[in-house]
Amino acid sequence: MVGFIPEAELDRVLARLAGPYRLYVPVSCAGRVELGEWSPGIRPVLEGRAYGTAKQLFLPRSEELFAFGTHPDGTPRVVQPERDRRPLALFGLRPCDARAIGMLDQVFLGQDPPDDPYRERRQGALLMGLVCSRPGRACFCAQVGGSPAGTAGLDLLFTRIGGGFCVEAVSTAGEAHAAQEDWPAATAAQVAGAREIQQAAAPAAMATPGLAQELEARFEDEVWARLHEKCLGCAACTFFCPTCHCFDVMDAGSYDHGTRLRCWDSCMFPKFTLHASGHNPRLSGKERMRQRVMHKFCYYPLRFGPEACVGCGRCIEVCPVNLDIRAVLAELGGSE
Amino acid sequence: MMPEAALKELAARLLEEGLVDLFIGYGPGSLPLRSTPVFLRQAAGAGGLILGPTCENNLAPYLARFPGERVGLVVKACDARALVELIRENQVNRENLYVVGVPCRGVICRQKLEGRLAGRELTAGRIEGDAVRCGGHEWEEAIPLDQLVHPSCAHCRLPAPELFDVCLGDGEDPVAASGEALEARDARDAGARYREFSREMEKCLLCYACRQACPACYCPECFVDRSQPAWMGGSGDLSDCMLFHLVRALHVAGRCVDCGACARACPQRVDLRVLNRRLEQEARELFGFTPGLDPGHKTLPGSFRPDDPDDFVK
Repeated sequence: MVGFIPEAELDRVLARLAGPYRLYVPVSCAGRVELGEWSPGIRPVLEGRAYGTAKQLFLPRSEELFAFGTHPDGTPRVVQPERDRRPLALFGLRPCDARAIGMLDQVFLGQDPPDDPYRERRQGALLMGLVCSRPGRACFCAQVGGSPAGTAGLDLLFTRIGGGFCVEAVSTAGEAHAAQEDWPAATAAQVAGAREIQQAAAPAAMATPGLAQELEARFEDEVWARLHEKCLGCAACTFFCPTCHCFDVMDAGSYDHGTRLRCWDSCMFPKFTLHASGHNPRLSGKERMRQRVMHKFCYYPLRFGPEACVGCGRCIEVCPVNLDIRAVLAELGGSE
Repeated sequence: MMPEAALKELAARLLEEGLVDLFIGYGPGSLPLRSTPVFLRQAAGAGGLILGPTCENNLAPYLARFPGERVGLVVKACDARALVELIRENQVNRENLYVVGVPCRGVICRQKLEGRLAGRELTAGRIEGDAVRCGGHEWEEAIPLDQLVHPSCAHCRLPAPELFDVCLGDGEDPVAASGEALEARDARDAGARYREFSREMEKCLLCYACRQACPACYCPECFVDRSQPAWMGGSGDLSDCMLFHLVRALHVAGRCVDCGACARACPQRVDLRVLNRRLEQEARELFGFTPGLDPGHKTLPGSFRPDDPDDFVK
């Protein structure tokens, strides 16, 4: 069933969520859209996608895994950090970002044992997506198998039509939530309107079959020297990538008293692959940029199927030198 | 001839005649009102070179990647000052360089533009005289360029390149009046300044885009990348961010030319000029030194004057 929420009702729908959930929505922040915690009076921004990723809510920039110390008798003491245990709810998530969370799930939950801190945040989270009626200037989700109206990773899909939103449950959790909310059914005309928007949003698929195999064969290709030329070697692309998930574990404090932290790391940093011997297998920016591209478009798809890129375009927007991954792929995919 | 046309012709000639092996300039970017660094090894690509207020990067940091090659480099006035520092610090061999000075009226500050567009997505943009013509879905707006120039440019006192082999154009006036009144020393109390500093530092993710974009940050290994000993944690908490930016500031003190490339590279809009403009001011007021001028002078940190008043040492 497709439900309908009039635009004026949205505030009440969000208010009901904000009690049991930690609710995040796209908000306007000095000319940018950012994900912000909802509170009464906040109006979600329904145009454009957030500058930052939803990743940071599930895999924070830095998190305390535990604190350690010693009891007065000298025995070791480990303390788990206090966390807000309410589940997360995200409204206005773009389909690309939801798909990215699905990829993070594969990494952090699809292995045995699963990753506890990630699971704690992810479990019970309600992901409410919003169909993109107009792809942005850096968007390329269709090129990597996504869609502006895609449902992967989502629980509920909202389509904004005149006067309100058509809501569809697209997961078991979404169905349970929809049943509980008991939204009035959308009329046939409203459903037809939503379908039209969903179909119009989806551009012709531009998938590049065989790219992974092609890349594997081009590991030593001379093209990398040219492709990486302008890359400054910062980590903006990886930190703003919704699927990049590499982390470092470090201790802060002293030998017998401190915290163990998990922090984002980046394959663009020289220290990322620095061995204890001093040897570094990825010696220059060329090897590091190649790794980033290969991981997303070769190694990951060869092992798990889809590319580890959802085409959100954030890396294009944040790159200080406007190095465009679409151009890189065009060059790599268009070889003889 | 317009500077951009002259640039294309010059770059083509330098490459064709083998006077340079590589020419580094700017080409059109993939996003509206963006340009991107281009690296030309053949004259054929020279027609794609562009100039103008979208050329926000400082290209000098790239030079370290091409030791021994003869490189043609496009420099705005601030980039030329960065180059002077690199030459006097023996990082760049002047003889291998062909420096093309270009006129600059200030580069666009994307942060100011975002604020002005208030969430509307820019999908088309072009510069027409003094106006930046912006457009998106069912809207159009012309914004005067002087309202969008980066703060480093708005405060630029030295808009003509000091170092060049060829200087294109006839030294246009920058949009913001040159020689704007020097900022008064910040009179706010330490608490207020600390709060401002903290507010900026809290945004930092330690992605190091600022360091990578900075012509003065050329250490083969940055102190933050040392693991034995680890001088700094990498957690991105406030103390790490402050430590990184303060140490970087001390390292570039007396060498920073306030080109603003670091601030423009920052994806988090950290106002790094909070530190930079103060460094520049201190160098000028305490030592009478402006980084990036007078290549014959020693580096500021490397020079000693017996008559130095030292009156800031308590």
